[in-house]
Amino acid sequence: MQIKVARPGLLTTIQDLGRRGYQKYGIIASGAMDNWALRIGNAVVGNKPEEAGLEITMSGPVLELPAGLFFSLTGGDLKAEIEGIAVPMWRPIHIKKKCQLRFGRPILGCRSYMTVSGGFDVAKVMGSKSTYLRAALGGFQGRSLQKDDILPIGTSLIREGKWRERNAFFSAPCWYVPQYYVPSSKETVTLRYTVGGQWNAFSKRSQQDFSAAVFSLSNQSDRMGYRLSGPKLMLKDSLEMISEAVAFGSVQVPPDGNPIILMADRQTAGGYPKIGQIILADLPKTGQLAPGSKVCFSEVSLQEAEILYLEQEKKYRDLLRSIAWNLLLRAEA
Amino acid sequence: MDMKKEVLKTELLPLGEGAVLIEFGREIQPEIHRKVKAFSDYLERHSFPGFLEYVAAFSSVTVFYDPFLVNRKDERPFQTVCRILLAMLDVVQAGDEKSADIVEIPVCYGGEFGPDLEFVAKHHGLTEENVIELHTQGEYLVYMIGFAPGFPYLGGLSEQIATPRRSSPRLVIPAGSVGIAGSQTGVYPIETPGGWQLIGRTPLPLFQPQNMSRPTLLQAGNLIRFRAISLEEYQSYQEVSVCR
Amino acid sequence: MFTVEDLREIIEMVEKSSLQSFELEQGSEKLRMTKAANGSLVKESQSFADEINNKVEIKSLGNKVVERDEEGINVIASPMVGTFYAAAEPGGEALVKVGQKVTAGSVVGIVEVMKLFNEIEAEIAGVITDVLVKDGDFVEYGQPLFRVCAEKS
Repeated sequence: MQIKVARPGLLTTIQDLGRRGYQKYGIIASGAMDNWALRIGNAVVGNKPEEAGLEITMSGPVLELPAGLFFSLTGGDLKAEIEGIAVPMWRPIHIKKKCQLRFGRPILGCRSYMTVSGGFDVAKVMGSKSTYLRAALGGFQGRSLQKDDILPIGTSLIREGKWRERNAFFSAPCWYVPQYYVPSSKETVTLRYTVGGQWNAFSKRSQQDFSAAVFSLSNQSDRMGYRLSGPKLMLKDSLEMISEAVAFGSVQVPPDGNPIILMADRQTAGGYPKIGQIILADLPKTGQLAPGSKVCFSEVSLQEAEILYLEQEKKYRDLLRSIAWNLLLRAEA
Repeated sequence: MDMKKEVLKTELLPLGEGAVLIEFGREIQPEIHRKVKAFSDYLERHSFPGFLEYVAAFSSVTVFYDPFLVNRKDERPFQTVCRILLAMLDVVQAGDEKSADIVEIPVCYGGEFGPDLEFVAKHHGLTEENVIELHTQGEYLVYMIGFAPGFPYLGGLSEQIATPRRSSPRLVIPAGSVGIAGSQTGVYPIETPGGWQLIGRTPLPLFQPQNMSRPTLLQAGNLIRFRAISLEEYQSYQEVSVCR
Repeated sequence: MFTVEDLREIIEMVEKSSLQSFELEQGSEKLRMTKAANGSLVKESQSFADEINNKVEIKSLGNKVVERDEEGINVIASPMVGTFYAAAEPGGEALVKVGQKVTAGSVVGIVEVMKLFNEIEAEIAGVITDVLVKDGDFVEYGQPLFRVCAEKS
């Protein structure tokens, strides 16, 4: 089975949970910007959590879907439609008749994830199917999708259960995974953080500004990092910092005072002081921000951050069980 | 909450709730680097539940983990990881590190491969041959790999040829380019923009993504020597790699 | 075709197992069972436009297992045990209001079970006359959720 790309969209790449174990060689981790959406998307089509999906950014592609395909859309709501009919999200969809999937303007968030049952059949590079564009590594030929690309798909892992025959083109179940985090572009998004390694090197004024002001994502915001505009953050004195490792969500401040939130395609190490670290539980929400989004930061203790993450992961595992149950029970008729 | 360890004089600091940074010092120094290397070597052979990966830098090693997989009843993930790392640090001594692998890098200096060789020479009142001699005489320690896949941060460049970065960076630096920036020297494994003074190029592939056990030619802790080669020898390397 | 004896055996197996819920289809007849909190098996129907009042015990299984639609005022009942939500996403607008027209396929509410949202469909065309539960209420299977005045066909 395969999907043909009729139009590629703004930036559509194959991403899984990232390349792990190679950052010590300077090889970027990459992976989905919103890994919650990818993991849930995989779960509802019966895939392992680390299977690769398509990360669809802002302006989506036009894809030709074959009959028999099981797929799902999670993450940002980019107004997906099949032949003019809205495609419900966060649940598996079964295609009955060859058709075209299109997207409209973003309603919520910025990145949508398309998972297919059986996954995309592209080669792994260093253990991962994620695309690292700068080094033309992984994914579909190391690049974002282009017109006429053919995406091969693995064998489907699920079957239809008592699903609603919604229309001539697809059916879907009545159940879905509710989402609580994808922001709309109108709201100011609060990102929780723990204080960074060099927090104490910043002036009192800058510490206050960081935790109180509203920042916005500049146009230089992409998979590598989000450059923020707002009050400039300054150090107390000049700091000679030598390079050390950074993480997804590290907020570093270069000499110009404009903070950068490091994202999926960040470099492995950096020499700029770090004022904060976005908590793991808020990374999916962070992955749904786009240029123009407004954010503010709220400090939490390391202990609170751990608790929030553990709760999220427990909820994820509970969801895995429910989803598997629904897929198995309703299919075994 | 930081935890200090007096013996090895390390500090354990959180990098968010998913990583711990072990600081062995705050300077770029071979002595500190030996500790980094010793601990990295240890992590190559030992793991713990929830361990994801590590990144070694000049004077620190950062250990990434999944707090959910690390989590034990009655103990916070950060505490569990610190406890495990402190136990490991107890066992590892500086001097435990594997003896350094010496890697020789053939470089074709000057001409179209080293468009800034002339500038570097003039900057120091030297001839181009002098610069090449000083560059190839040195033994360079790979402190860390970062910034780009396989990109080495090398220490040990002779002060006599240390040259500031170009005022305007180039948009494209070909892969294999050997350059100088301040008191650092290095090799670009992949094509990137950059502001280094380019003095030559190596035909060796520094980044081999298909080789899962050793995707980069250089690793932290290697000792590098540069060897000057002719254009013909450079081209013969290229032919060999085309045949492969 | 399953006999009554077959069905009894299946039910006993399900009861002893760790399965929480079980569905069986036989031609146009459907049977669905869910374990209540105390572990006893409880029968549910697949057709939701009926008013279901009593828990049917296993020994009544000799009868037909499909409930029939009633004429006139119909009740949309919960097909499962869980938490009722009036909107499709947390904090969203209510899916239906009193006086709203619905078709058989209209989604009128959500029941959350094991962290998943389940769309409750009207299964009947008509007008909502009563909303019997509020957002966040815990509902039992068979509990009336809405009253619908059916469209005369």
